Amino acid sequence: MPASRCEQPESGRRTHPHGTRGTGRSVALRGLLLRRDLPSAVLVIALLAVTAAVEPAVFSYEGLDLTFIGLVPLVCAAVAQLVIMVGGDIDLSIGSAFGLVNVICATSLNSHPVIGVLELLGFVAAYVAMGALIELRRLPSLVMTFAFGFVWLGLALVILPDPGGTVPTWVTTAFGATVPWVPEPILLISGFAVVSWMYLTMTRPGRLIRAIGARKLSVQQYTRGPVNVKILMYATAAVVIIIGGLALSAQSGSGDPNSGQSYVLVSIAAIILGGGEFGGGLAWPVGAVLGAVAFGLVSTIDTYLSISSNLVSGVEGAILLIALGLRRSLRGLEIRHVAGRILTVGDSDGDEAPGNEDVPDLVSVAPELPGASL
Amino acid sequence: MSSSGRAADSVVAMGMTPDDVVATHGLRRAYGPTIALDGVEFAARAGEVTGLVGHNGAGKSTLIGCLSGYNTPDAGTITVGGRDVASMSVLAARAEGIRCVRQELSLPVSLSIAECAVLAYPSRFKGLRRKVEAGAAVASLFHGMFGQTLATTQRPLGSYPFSQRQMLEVCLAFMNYREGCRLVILDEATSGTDAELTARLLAWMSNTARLHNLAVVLTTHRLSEVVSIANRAVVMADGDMIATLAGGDITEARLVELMGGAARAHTGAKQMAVGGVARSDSSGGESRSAVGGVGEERRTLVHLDGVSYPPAVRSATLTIREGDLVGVGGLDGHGQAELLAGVFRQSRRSWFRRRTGATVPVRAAFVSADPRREGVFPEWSVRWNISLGGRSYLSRFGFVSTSRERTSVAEMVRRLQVSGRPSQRVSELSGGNQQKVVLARALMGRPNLLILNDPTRGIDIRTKQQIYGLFQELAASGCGVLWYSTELDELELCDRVHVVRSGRTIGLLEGDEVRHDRLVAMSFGEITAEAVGETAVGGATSGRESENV
Amino acid sequence: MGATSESFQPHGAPEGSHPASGSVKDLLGSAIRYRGLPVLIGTVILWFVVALHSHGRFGATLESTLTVGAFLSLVGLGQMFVVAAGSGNIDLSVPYVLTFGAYLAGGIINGGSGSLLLAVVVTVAFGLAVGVANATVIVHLNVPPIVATLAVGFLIESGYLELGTHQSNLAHNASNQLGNTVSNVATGGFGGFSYMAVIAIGCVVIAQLILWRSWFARRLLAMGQSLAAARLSGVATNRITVTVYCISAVMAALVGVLLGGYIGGGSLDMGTSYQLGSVAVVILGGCFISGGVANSPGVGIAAMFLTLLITLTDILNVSPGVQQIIEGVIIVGLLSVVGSARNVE
Repeated sequence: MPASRCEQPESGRRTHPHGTRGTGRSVALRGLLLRRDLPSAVLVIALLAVTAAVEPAVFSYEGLDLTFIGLVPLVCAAVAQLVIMVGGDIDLSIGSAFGLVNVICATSLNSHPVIGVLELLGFVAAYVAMGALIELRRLPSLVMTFAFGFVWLGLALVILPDPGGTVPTWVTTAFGATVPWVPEPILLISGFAVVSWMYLTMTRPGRLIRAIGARKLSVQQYTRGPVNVKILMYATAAVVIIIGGLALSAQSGSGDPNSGQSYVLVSIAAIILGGGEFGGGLAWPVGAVLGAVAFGLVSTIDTYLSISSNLVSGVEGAILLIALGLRRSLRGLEIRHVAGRILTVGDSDGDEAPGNEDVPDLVSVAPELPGASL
Repeated sequence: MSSSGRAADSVVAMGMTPDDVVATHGLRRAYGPTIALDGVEFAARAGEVTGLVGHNGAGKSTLIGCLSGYNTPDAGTITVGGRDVASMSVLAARAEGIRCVRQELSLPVSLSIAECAVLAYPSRFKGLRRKVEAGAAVASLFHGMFGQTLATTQRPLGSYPFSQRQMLEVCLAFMNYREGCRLVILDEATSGTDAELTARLLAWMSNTARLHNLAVVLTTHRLSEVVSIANRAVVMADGDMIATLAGGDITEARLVELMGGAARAHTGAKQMAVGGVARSDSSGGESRSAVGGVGEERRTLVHLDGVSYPPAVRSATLTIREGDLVGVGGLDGHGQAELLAGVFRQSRRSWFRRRTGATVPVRAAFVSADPRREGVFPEWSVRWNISLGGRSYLSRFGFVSTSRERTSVAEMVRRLQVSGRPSQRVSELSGGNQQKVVLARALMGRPNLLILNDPTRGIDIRTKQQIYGLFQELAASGCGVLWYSTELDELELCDRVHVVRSGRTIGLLEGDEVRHDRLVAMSFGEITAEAVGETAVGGATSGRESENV
Repeated sequence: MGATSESFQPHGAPEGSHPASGSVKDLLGSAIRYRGLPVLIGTVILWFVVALHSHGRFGATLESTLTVGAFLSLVGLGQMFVVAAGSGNIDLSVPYVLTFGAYLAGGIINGGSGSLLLAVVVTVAFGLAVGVANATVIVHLNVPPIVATLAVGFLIESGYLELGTHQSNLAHNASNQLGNTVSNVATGGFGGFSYMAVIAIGCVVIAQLILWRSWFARRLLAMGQSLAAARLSGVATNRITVTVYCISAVMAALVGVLLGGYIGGGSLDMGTSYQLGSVAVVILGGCFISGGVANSPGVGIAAMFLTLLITLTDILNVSPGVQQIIEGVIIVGLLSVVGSARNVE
C-alpha cells in the first residue's frame, strides 16, 4: 500500500466542517451589505435627497424628466466602458466616439439617412477593427484607444469642422417621448441596467466576455480564439455608444465633435464607484449605471447650488474618494465577517482565496491595467 | 540530467491499435534551442489509464499540450478521429472528445463552475434553467467522484483555493463521460489534493475508464498514483519516451529506476531520513553541535501562543528555535499558508521581537510554492534574480557592486547546483531550477529563519532530494526552518510537526510520533492532542471542532 | 524544459546579462533588440521629413525639437518610474500638478518681485504632498491608480481654477509672471544648445544610471515584474510606491514652473497634452505598461517623436481634422511596431 494513502473515512461527508455563524437571514443580510455596488446605490439615494432639499421642484414628472434626460448619454458611456473593462481592456476613445456619432447624427443622418446609417455601421466596423488590432497585436488598450481617439475626433472634425448641423426630429422624439407614470429617461436608464445585467450574466456572449477578462486563454475552450470574443465585446460597446450618441444628439439638438470629451473619465470613475474593477471579469452593471447617475446628479446639484464651475471637478473628485474610502472600510468588515470560516468547497464569502495567491501583507494589490495583464 | 538512456526493456511496444483515441507520430517541438519533444510516438487507448511519468523538463506537459490542442507541434502528426492532422486547436480537440486539466488550471475564475459547464457543453444544457441544471449535474458528479457534497455551484471559481479549483476542474473534465467524452488528460491534477480525496478520485477514474471505455492519461509526480491505477506507464526523459511498462511491471522502484533517480522511495525523503542526515530527537538540541559551540542554548526565533491572523488563522501556537526544522501539516486549505505568511509579515516589523518573544533579531526569508508566479522575476537573468536577496551585502552607496554580485551569485549557483548560466533568462530554466533560484535568493540574505510554503510542489525527485539536503544543512548550521508541505513524506523529515486544522494548531507531533499514520489521523481530528501523549510546547488548544453540519 | 505553450519567448537579452565580450556582433545584436529602436527610427524619419519641409534646416529642427520636447520628456521620466512599479500604477494627476505648479510659483515670484528660492521650495513641497496623497489613496484606500490619481487631480484642478481667477488680477505688466531667471532657463541657451535640452538630456542620463545600477531601481523593477515575489523577497513595496509617485509629482510641478517661464505665465490648459502624452512616451519608448521594464533614453526619444509629429501635422497645413487623424494613425502604427508587452499568463 503506497505510503501516502490513508484509511478512507465515512463517505458522503459534507464539506463544511464549520457551521455558519448566525441564522440564514442574518447571513443573507450581511451578504447584501457587503455587495460591491451598495455604496453607489447609497450615494445615489443620498444625492437624490440633497437634490430634493435644494430644489424640490425636481421631483415632479417634468423635473425628473429634465434632470434625467441629461444622464442618459452618461449611462450609455458607462455601460459601453463596462463591457470593455469586464473583458480586460479600457477605452479612452469613448469620448471622441460619442462626438463622432453626434456629428454623423447631425449631418448625414439628417440629410441623407441611408448614408448616415452606413456611416454609423462604418463606425462600428472601425471600432471593432480597433479592438481586433489591440488583441491580435497584443497591444496595451490604454494607449491604443488613446491614439484611436485622435482618429475618431479627426473624422468628426472632417465631417463637421465647426459645431452646427441639425439633429433629425425622429431622434429627438425617440428620446423625448412622454410616457405615462414614469419619465422616459428613468425608464431608459433602468432598462440599460437590467439589459446589461442580463447580457453579462445570462447570455453566452456575456459569459465569454467575463471569461476573457479573468483569464484570456480560457476562452480557447469555447471558441476559436480570444479575438472572436474581443470582436463581440467591441461590437456590443459600439452599439451602446451609438445609442448614447443619439441620446446626446437628442439632448443638444446639434452636432459638436468635442461634445463627448467629458465622458471618458467619468465613465471609468462610474464603474469603479459601482464596484467594478479593471479586468478580472467581474461585472457590476447595476453599480456602473448607479455610478453614472451619481456623477450626473452631482453636476445637477452643482448647478442648482450655483457652485462655481471651477469647483465641480473638485467635488467629483472628493465624492469619488469618499465613496471609495467608505467601500474600503466595508471591505475591512467583510474580512472580519469571513474570519472564522475556512474556505472549503462551496463555502465562501470572500473574493480572495488563500493558498497560492497569498501575499503576505494585508494591503491588497491595486489591480493591473487592462491590456497590461498580458 | 539524462537517464539511463533508451532502455531496451520496454515491456510492451507502443504500437497503434484501432482502440486509440489519439496517437502521435514523430512529434517534435522545440522552444528556441531547447528541444521539448524529440520524435515522440504516443497513443492513448480507450478503456485504459495511462500514466505518464518523467522528470521536470522531460516533455510531459508539452506532449499533453499537443494532445489537447494547447500546443502546436513543429513536426510530426497527430492521429485523431481516424485522421492525421498536423495540429489541432483546443476546440477541435474538444470536438473529438478530448478534455484536459492543465497543471496551472485553465478555467476563468470569474465564472462559476455551473457557468463553465454551460459554456463547455452548450448542447447538453439549454433553455432558461440551464445554469441550475448544469449545477446539479456538476454536484452529482462531484459527489460520485470525491464523495463530498458541494454546498453551491454558483460561486465564482475565484472564491476557492487552488486545490479546490483543481477538483472542480477535474470534475468538469469528466462531465460527459457517458457520452461524447473519449479521453481525459490530467496534468498534475492531484498536486494540491490530499491523500484521501486523491484515492477516491483514482478509484472512480479507474472504474469509469473501464466501464465507459474512456481513455485517461495521468501525469503525476506521485508515483504511487500511477502504480495504483495505471494499466500502462510511459516514462519520458529529454523529450522522448524511453520505456513503457504494463500491468504488474508497474512498480515504483522500476519507474524510479527508469527515470534515473535513486532506487528508493517517491519523494526521496524516506531515503534521506533513513540513510541521509538524521534528524535530531525531540529532547531538543544536544545533537546539534554546530550552533555556537556545544551546549550553548539555542535562541528562540519565533514563539507564538494563541496568535491569530484573521481571517484564516484563528489560533496558532508554535515555537521555533535556531536549528529547528519545524513542519506544518494538516489538510490543505486550513490556514497553513496564511500562518506562514503571518509569521513572515510579522518578522519584518520591529515589534515582532517583543510580541513573539524572539530573543534574537530575526532575518526571515520566504519561499513559495509556485516559482513562476510568486518566485522569479521573469524579465531578469538568473543573476539579477538571485542578487536581489542580498542587496544589503552587495551595496555600495546604494548602488550595485557588480563584482561582488558576480562572485556571490556564482558561489550560490554552485552551492545549489542550479543548472543554468547566471546570465541566462530565468524563464528558460525548468521549474525545479527556477525554484532553486528562488531558494538561492532567499539564502543570499543570510536568513536565520527560512519559511517555506510547500516549496517542492511539482518538482522532480532529483531536485527535491537536493533541496531536502539543503534544508537539513541549513538547520544544522543554526537556521530555523518553518516548512509547510502537502507531502507527508517530507514532514517526516522534520523534528516536529504542528498539525493545523480550521485555522488552529490543534496538535503537535514530535520525534517518533512524526509518522504518516499519526499525521493523517490528527489531520482528520480523529485523535485529539491529549491522545497523542505529548503536550505541545507552549500549550496546544484542544483538538475537536464542534461540527455544525 | 518545463516550458508550456504560453511560456514567454524571449526577445531581447534579459536584464543583467551583459555579454562578456564587447564584440561588435554582440553589440549589434543588442542594438537590434533594443526596445527603443522603433521609436528612434521613427524619430529620425520624422526629423528628416520635417527638416526637408523647412528647407533643409536639420540643425534648427533638431534644436527646437529638443527644446520643446524637453518638457514632455521630463514629465515622461516621472511617469516612467510610476509605470515601472507595475500593478496598474499610473499618474494621471500630472497635468493638474503641472498647471498648479506654474500658478503656485507664479504667485510667489510675482513677476520677479518675489523669491525664486521660496517658489522652488514650495513647489517641490507641493509635489511631495501630491505624491504622498496619490500613494496613500492607492495603497490605503485600495483605489485603482487611474481613478485615484484622477480624483486627486480633479481636486487640484479645482484649486488652481480658483487660483487662476484671482491671479488674473495680479501684475500683468510683466510678460513673464515667473520672473526673468526662470524665463531664461526655459527659453535661453548657449552655443547651439538650449538650457532645456541640456536639462532634459541630463535627466535622461541620470535616470538611466539609476535604472542600471541602483538598488532602488532593482527593487522597483522587481516589484513591477511580480508584486508577490517582490514582497516575499522583502521589498518594501509601499515605500517604493510613495517614492515613485513623489518623483512624478515633483517632476511635473517643476516642469510646470519651467513651462510657465516658457510661455510667460500660467495658463489653464497648459497641462492637457501632458496627461496621456506622458503615458504615450513611456510606452512608445519601450517600457512595459505592466511594469518591470523601463528605458529612459527611449522615453526621451519618444518625446521628440511626438513633438516632431505635431510639428509635421502643423507644417502640412491640413485641416485640424486631418491633423488629428494623421497623428492618431502614426501613433497606432508605431505602437504596433513597438509591439506587445508580454505574452499571456
